[in-house]
Amino acid sequence: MNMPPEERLEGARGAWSTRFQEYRLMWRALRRDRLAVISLVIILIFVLAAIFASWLAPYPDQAMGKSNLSERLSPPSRTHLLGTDDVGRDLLSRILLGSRPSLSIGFFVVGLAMIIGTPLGAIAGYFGGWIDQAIMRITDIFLSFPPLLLAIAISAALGPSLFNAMLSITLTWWPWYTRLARAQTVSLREQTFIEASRAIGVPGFTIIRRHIIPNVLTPALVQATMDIGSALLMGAALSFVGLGVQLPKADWGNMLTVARLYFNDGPWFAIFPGLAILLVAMCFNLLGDGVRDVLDPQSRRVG
Amino acid sequence: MARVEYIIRRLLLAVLVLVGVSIITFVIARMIPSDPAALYVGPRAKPETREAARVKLGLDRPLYEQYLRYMGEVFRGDFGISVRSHRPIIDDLKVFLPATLELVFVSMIITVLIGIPLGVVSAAWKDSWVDQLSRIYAVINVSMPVFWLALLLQLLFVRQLGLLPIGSRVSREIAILAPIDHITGFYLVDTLLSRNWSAFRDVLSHLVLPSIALSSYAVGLSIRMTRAAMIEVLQQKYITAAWAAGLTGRIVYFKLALKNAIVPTLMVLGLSFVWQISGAMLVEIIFMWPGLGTYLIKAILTIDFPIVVSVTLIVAVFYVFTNLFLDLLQAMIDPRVSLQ
Amino acid sequence: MDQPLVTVRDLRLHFRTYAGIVHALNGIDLEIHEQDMLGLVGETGCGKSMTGVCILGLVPRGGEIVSGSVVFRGEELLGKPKSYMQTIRGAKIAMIFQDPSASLNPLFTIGQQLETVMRRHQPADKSQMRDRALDLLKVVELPDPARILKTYPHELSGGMKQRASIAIALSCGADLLIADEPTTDLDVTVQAQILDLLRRLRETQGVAILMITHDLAVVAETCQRVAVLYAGQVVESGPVDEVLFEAKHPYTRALLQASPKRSSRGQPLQAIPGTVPSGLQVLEGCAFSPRCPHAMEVCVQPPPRASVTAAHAVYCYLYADSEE
Repeated sequence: MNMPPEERLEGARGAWSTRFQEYRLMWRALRRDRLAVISLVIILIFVLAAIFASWLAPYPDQAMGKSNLSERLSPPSRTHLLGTDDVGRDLLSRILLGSRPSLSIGFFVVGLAMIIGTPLGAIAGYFGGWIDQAIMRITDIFLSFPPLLLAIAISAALGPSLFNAMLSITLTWWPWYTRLARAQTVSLREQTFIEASRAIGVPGFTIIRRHIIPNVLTPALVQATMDIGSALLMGAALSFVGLGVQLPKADWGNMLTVARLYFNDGPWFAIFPGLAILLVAMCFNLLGDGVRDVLDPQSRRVG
Repeated sequence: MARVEYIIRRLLLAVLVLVGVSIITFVIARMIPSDPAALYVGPRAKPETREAARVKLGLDRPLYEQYLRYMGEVFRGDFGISVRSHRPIIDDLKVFLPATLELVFVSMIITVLIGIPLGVVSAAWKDSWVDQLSRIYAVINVSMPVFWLALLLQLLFVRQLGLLPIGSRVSREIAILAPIDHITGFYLVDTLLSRNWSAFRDVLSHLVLPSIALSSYAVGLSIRMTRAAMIEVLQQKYITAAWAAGLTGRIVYFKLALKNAIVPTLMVLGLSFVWQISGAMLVEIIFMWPGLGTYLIKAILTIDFPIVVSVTLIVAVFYVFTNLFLDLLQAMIDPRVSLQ
Repeated sequence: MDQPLVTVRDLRLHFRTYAGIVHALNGIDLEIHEQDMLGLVGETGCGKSMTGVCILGLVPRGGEIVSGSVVFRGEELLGKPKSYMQTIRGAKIAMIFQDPSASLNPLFTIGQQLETVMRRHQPADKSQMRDRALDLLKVVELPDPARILKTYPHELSGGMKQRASIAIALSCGADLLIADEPTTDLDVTVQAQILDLLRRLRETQGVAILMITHDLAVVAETCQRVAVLYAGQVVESGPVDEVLFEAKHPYTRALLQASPKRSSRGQPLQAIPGTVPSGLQVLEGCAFSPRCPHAMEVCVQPPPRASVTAAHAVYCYLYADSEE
């Protein structure tokens, strides 16, 4: 028997494989929630639109930034389904292309925050003592900044660009995952199967990797699904203020910055990009709701 | 006694966190690439003037010394001088801080008056049409970019309907005809205190749209949070026991269940409060509201480093104290907390 | 004491679930008299808790009482509006639950919880209510009642919490106390004390007790009468001594045999073969027949009520000829 020692303990084997089985059951349960499924479909559509934007856009060069002054601020028509912006660029194309930075911020920020924050929280929760105190104090300090403010400040310090915006928002987001993971770990730590593993001498980090992280992952994923929407909103806010994607590159936030100045003459310019943000954020929130309802018992523990 | 211990522990923690916050703020601000001394004296100054400015601003000292000096001044109420305008920051703060706070307070009132009761009702009549509607309303609010909502509100109420003013805190007519006494900086309060009724109505009408926009996210969040917390509480055995004792809905929902559900709700309200302080920035831009937000954004874009540090610090301080207040409130409501 | 305090006739309860309709109660017949101590005994899932809950009209979501009657002091309770039931609950019929830590609100002191209930049914001024509260706490034998009024549930031990729950339940002079597994979660010694207390309260407070439990020993020690439940039906009922020492129904017998006794030391425990039917199955006839060693063809019909003695009834074809 060449199994590592703790695998011989019942219940200690493959927390990861149990997770995958669980996820399959959850997926089946999720399918019954119509709202969540619709949201998922819409999100997938947006993701595909983002990937294939250059091919889907009716006016790809305008989407990139080429102006078309003769048709500036024209209302929605058959040639321009959503109208044009202040320099005549097709709004539909710009919005399609603008989905790229927005969605990237959402996924990147949440992904990175989870990757950084969750293990940190698990370590803090598992080892306790001064490691716990140190990590949690740093987390507290970061959490003491209003998120938007911190992101704006860091973005300004680093210089406005999409990448810096992503970085700064991630820096404001990771503490939430640390806190989440720590709370989960602390309650997990007391469970017998962890004690058993410890009793036969499994090193701490292995326990964390094999048993704690998979259990902590589920509430983290629920949180993450909803957070993508919020991260997207924050990204839009940053570019609205001028600290994200710079014009003429298309981004839903920076489109609104300009649209604001022209809303008397061209309200559609202000309405459609915002509508896109609203739609995508809503879908992520509804999907997150569905996911959380499916995983109900666990999320209650963390909520 | 355990409670008193807990309170003291929390206070010390808050102090520690504040120190950390101030350090980080300082470091971040210094990361903004530019030379404050050069900005201070302007592009046409001679090198000697610039050097003199550098010494005056203390930029030649090591970083930690700058930090300590700055902190000392802050405690004495001196937030430094704007690099651009050369005005003491504290004077600016006295005008801008109340403006933002007033907006946030009104917004919080809206949040509490709408968010919490809707959440309770949603949970009590779970899955009814009231519940469905309020959930949709909540999700939309939570997913909406606040600056877009502000724009839409302007579009509808100002451009289309002409009902409300487009921005700022008071209209020019009032500023001339019935100027407001600057007592607290909170115009609603000031106009009431000086019985300036026309100005009061004017100020109120200017507050409507921005506060509705600002409160939207928090309202959505409160509805969701309160509903979720209430649903969980309503499933507890002690609620069943309350029904079994013949207690009526009003008592069970609004006294017994709500108290148990209020803790997570308070947390959300606290988060909302501070979120709104930073969210106010976006709303202020749209409504040309002369508050902390516009002050800060301008400072960032003009790289006015002392202002950035000061404003960030102040907002963070608010944040820390709000969290502290919430923790203490929770300890008062839930007797089990102090045991943790 | 002619008319019983509570009469339950042919009570049937259905639950709507994803998997189908669960038949939780399949025709319960019960009688509780004044100052009675009736034990309702059966395995998990037999419907004993649901019976208690139905008497109070607190059917959980998804549940529906499809037929039957619950008569309290001559009044039919099923179908009464919520407002009426809210005057009955707590004031005339009260309930205590299995886990006192879960059934006491953690954010209110014992005194506050007592006051809330008293104020609802029998409001009086503050000092009067406080005196009543102190008396109640003394009645349930809690030491230092004045201090207890100001304590929170988590500061009390399990036994004390249960006593406090009993005090709250009896605060408005209820005629019937439904006790749903009141001692299951308590230590054995504390169990005995609480059972003792309930027995005494029956006499001093003049309250009838419906003791819902899965533990035959509890029933044997405390109850005067007992009803044995299986799969939502009463299979045997009567005075405790008669039912337990002269058990007639095959299920009751099997249950008694399955309990470990001193006399069966060294011998394997006698489990009942088979499993309890899932609530999704529609039962025709006797629910126990699939597992009954004496099952006959006629058992697919609902068994008749046979009287072993005047008070002892059994629902089984084996005794059908002694029908009165």
